[in-house]
Amino acid sequence: MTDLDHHIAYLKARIREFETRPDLNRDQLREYKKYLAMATESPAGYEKDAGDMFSTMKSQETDRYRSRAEMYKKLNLMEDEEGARLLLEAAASSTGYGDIYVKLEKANDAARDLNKKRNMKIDRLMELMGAIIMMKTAIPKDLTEKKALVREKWKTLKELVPDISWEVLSSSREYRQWLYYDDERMAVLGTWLREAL
Amino acid sequence: MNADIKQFLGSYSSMIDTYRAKVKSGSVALKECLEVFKKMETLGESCSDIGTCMTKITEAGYINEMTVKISALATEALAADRAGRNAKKPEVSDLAAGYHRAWESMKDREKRPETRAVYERVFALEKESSSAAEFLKKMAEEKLLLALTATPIREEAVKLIAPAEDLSLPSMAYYHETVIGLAERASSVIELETEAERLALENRMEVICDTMILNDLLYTLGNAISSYLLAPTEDNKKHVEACWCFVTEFYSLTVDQYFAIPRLRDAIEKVIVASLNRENPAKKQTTEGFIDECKQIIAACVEKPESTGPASRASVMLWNKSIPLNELLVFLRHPNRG
Repeated sequence: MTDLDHHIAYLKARIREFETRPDLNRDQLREYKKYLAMATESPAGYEKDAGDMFSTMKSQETDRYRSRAEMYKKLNLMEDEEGARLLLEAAASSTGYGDIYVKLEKANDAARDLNKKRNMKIDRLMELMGAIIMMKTAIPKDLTEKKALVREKWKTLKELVPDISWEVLSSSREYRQWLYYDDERMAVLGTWLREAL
Repeated sequence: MNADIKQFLGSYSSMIDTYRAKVKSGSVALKECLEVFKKMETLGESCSDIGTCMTKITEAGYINEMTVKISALATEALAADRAGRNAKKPEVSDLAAGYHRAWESMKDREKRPETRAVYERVFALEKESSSAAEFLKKMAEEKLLLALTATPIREEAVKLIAPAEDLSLPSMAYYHETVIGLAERASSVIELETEAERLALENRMEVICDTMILNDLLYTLGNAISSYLLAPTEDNKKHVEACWCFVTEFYSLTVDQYFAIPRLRDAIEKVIVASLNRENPAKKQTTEGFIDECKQIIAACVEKPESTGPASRASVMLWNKSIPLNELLVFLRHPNRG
C-alpha cells in the first residue's frame, strides 16, 4: 500500500467515527469528506492541494465548542453558553495554525471569567438560602444577628446580579434547578426573606 | 542588568531568534512575541535579583503570555518549514513521540493496566508501521484515538464508586457509573468530551441539592443537639426546639418518620457515626444508639407537641419532580432526570 492508500483509509475511518454522531461532528464530517474526495478524484496533486490540512483541525474546534454551547443552553447555563460561543467564534475566525491557539487562548480567558461568575452566583444563592434557614432556626436573642446575615447575603447576591428579585429567583429555571424547594416552600422562604429585609 | 536575569531573558531571546529565521519578516506572531519580550525586559531591568524578577513577571502574567505567543510562533515556523522546498515528511517516531511523553508523565502507571494496554498497542503499531500515514491509519481503524481518552477516564471512575458510597455521596457514586457507561459507548472524541461535561454539570446540580437538603434537614438540627449535649443550657435547649419546629413546619415529619428516612440514616451512619467512632473508638457508637440519643434529647427539649401538616411536605423537588423524602436515597443513586 502507498502512503496515499493509507491516508485514504485513515480519512474513511475518521468519517465512520464522525458519522456515529453527525450532530456533534458536523464540520469535521464536511472537511474529512472534502479531503477524501480530493484524494480519490485527483491523487496526483493531492499532497500539494491538501496542504497543511488546517481546516480539519479547525473543524474539530468548531465542532467542540458548538456542541458545548448547545449542551449548556439545554442546561440553562447562560454564562457557560456565552463562553462556548466566544470560543466557537475564535475558532471559526482563525486562519491557520499561527493564530488559532492565540485566539482560543484569549477566548478561553473570557470563558473562564464567565464560568467563574456563574459559579459565584450559585455559591451566593446557596449562602442566602442557608442564612434564611439559620434565621428561622435561631433563638430569639440571636434573631437580630441572623437577620443581618440574611440581608448581607441578599446584598452580595444583588451586587453580582443587580436585577435579581425573589420573583425572578422563584420563576426562573436557571435558579430553580439548583434548589430543591417546591413552589409552596419557595413562597414560604420568600416570606421569611422579606421578614429580614 | 543582574546577570541571572540577563541569562533568564536570554533563553527566551534565543528561542525567538530560532523561529525568527524561519518565519516571514512581517509575521504577526513574531511581532507579538517581541512585544511580550520587551515588557519582560523592562521589568527585568527594574529588579535587582532573579527571585523578585520571577515573582513580578509571573504576577504580571508575562510567562503565560509568552508561552502562548511562542507556541504560536513555533507553529508558524513549523508550518513554514513544511511548506518549504526541503520539507521533510514526519516519521512514525515523530507522531508517536507525544504518546510516549504522555505515558511516561502519567502518574500511578502501575495502577492502570487497561490504560497501559492501550498505550502498548499504540507503541506496537509504531513498530509495525513503515510510514506515518500507515501509523495514523491503523490508529484510526483500531479507534485508538478515542481509546486514549476514554480508557483512563473509565479506569479511574471504576475506583471511585465504592469510596463515594462509603462517604454517603450517592449522587457521586451514580456519576462515576455514568462516566463508565459513557467511556464505553462514546464513539467520537467530541461526544466523549461534551457528554462528560454534561454529566458533570448535572451531577453538580444534584450534589448541591443533596448538600442543601442535608444541611437544612439534618446538620442544622444535629449541630443544635451536639451543642446541647456539650452544654445543656436553656439557650441550647431552645435552639434544639427551634430546629425541630422548623423540621415539623417545613417537612411535616414526626420524630419516628424523620429518623426512618433512608437518606438521613445513610448520612448519620457513614458521616456522623463514622466520625464519632474515629474520634473515640472505645465508645463503639452505633447508628441506632446515636438515633436513640437524639430522640431523647428532642423529647427533653421540645415542649410543644408535634404539629404535622400535609404529607406532601415530606418531599423535595429534583429535576422538576416531587420526590418523597423516603425515596430520596434511591433517587439520588439512580436519578430519573427525564
